[in-house]
Amino acid sequence: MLEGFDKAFENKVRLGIMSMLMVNEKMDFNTIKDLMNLTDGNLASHAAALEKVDYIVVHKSFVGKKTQTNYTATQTGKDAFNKHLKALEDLLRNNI
Amino acid sequence: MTQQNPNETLAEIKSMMENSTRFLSLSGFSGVLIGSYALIAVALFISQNNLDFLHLNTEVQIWSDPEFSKSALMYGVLLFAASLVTSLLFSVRKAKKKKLPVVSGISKKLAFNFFTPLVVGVLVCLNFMLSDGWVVLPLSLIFYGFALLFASHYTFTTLKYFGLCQLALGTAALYLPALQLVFWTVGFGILHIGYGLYMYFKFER
Repeated sequence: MLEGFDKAFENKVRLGIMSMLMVNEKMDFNTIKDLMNLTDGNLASHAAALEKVDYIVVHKSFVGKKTQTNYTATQTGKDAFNKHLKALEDLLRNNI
Repeated sequence: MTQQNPNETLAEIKSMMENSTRFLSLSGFSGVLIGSYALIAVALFISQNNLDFLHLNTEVQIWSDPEFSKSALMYGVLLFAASLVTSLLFSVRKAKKKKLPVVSGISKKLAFNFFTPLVVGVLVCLNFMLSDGWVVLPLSLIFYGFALLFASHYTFTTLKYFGLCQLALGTAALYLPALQLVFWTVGFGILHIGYGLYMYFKFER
């Protein structure tokens, strides 16, 4: 029954990050953090987990003296997300 | 962890996608208030200057009368300020209730798209005020319509139709200048109240 489900998206935060990056070309650290009410450390560790499996890439740049961290979804990540979404929908269809 | 209900998960994904692309904390109720302010402002403006609501004198002389243009400017500034403060207060309240940020990348994009046409509109209207005052009310509707149209990409999509209505009314007012107070009252007053009620009953109740 769990075929097609992606372990990387079992966690709510990771699923949330990926959902946002599916519809936004890129998103910065603080916007994601505020939208999901996360702490710095919490978001950083979940983002690192997604980065490790190559689902997202991190871009760091300087805006004045501050660093700005932006995230983008990779094609691998987008494909994985769509597969996960399809699995969810299939599950829903079979349940009804 | 127990398996989460897929319905809930899909709803969460949808809400994340929405909240990260659109600022959905604009309040319908503030629209009702803003529309009411406009109706009051028009009523006061008409009685103060003895205007004919259904047949406005559009000759240049009346606008170049400093008393008249001063009163028009005062009502414009007051109405704009009161409307801005009202919509900000209600948006902050709604965002807090939904535990969403007020200042974010999304609300900044919304503000940029809304205020760019609006600021240009204010400058254009100020420039016309003394020379061709009769175009000020129609132009304010038109620029406001563009502001709403641009802003609709970053908030409720139905705002687009609200903006298109303002554009239509503004253009009509430009062609039928004697009736411009009527068009303006419908646009800023009645449409705000109508759209506000629609949003309130659709999303907030």
